Amino acid sequence: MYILVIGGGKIGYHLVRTLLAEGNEVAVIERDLRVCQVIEVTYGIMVLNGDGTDPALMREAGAERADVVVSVAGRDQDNLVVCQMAKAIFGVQRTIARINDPRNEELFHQLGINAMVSVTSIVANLIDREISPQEMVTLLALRHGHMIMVEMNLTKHSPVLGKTLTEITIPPESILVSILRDEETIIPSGSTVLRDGDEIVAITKVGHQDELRKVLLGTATGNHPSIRIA
Amino acid sequence: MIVIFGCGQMGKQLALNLERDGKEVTVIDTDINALTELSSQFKGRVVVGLGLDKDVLKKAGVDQAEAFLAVSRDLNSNIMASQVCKTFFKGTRVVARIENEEQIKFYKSLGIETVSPTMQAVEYIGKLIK
Repeated sequence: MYILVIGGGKIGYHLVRTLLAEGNEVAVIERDLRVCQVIEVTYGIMVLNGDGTDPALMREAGAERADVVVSVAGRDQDNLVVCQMAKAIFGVQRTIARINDPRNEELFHQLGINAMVSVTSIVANLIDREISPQEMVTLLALRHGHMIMVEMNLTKHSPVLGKTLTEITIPPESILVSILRDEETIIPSGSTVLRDGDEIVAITKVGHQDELRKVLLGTATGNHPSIRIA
Repeated sequence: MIVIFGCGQMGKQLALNLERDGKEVTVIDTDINALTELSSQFKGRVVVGLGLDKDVLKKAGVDQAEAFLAVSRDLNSNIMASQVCKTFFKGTRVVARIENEEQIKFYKSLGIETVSPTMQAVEYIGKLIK
């Protein structure tokens, strides 16, 4: 594939190496001339110096034949304009934008950007996982954030230990996807018995996660905001 | 009521002129000094914040405004702010300062009115010296 990367900062720099290793053809547009030189020397690829949101420069970089445009500049507004230009002027099928403000995910989606990488959300979710091992953690947002995949660790306080799934009423709008027990992954059935230490992965509609938490962990809402939509 | 994003030369002059014409005006910018300076000769409201932040726009009253003018020096911020406004505050008329001709063509197709001070000045000067 031919992949055009806008922004040669920390993310762009390492992304290029990964994309090249996978056998792609890669070109970069970067504003800072010194950064351009480093990338050019390191990878031996085409690097254009200038404003990646300028359609003339994108054209020069061969945006017309790009299979994917990845915009990983530091500012959300620049990444938005890049992706919109790529689609509207050059007919690029897939555009990926880095975003910093997680609130922009919804907007960018509405504006037709195919995929987003929210570094802020990723880090926030990782922190959640670290600080709340016994609580519920959001792993993934699905269907534009209307559904979420969550993970919960059963503790000795859980009211469902020793029960089979048929004995438990899983609240509506939620489904258990898998149970991670020691090194094993269990796809649950009605006769599966829950145990202390089980890591349960479930999918739930946003707004219903507290009901699920209550049933499985016995706790009402957490006293810290451990649920965050990615 | 009119909300202006950008308190540079253009935003300032626009705010003063519109106020002189009897309009209620609010100006948004991240530059507190520029807003303070404007306030010395301006009765309207100033809001410190990012003009492309939905919450800041709401605070500035964009949902009630007849027009939102994104005229900051940061052209991509103008573009994004206009689209935030179009998406979340649908009734408000949007004008954005954009200079690139290809960008202008596309964003006009999304219903954003555009103004290009540099391009228009260049054209005007060209005519003058002909």
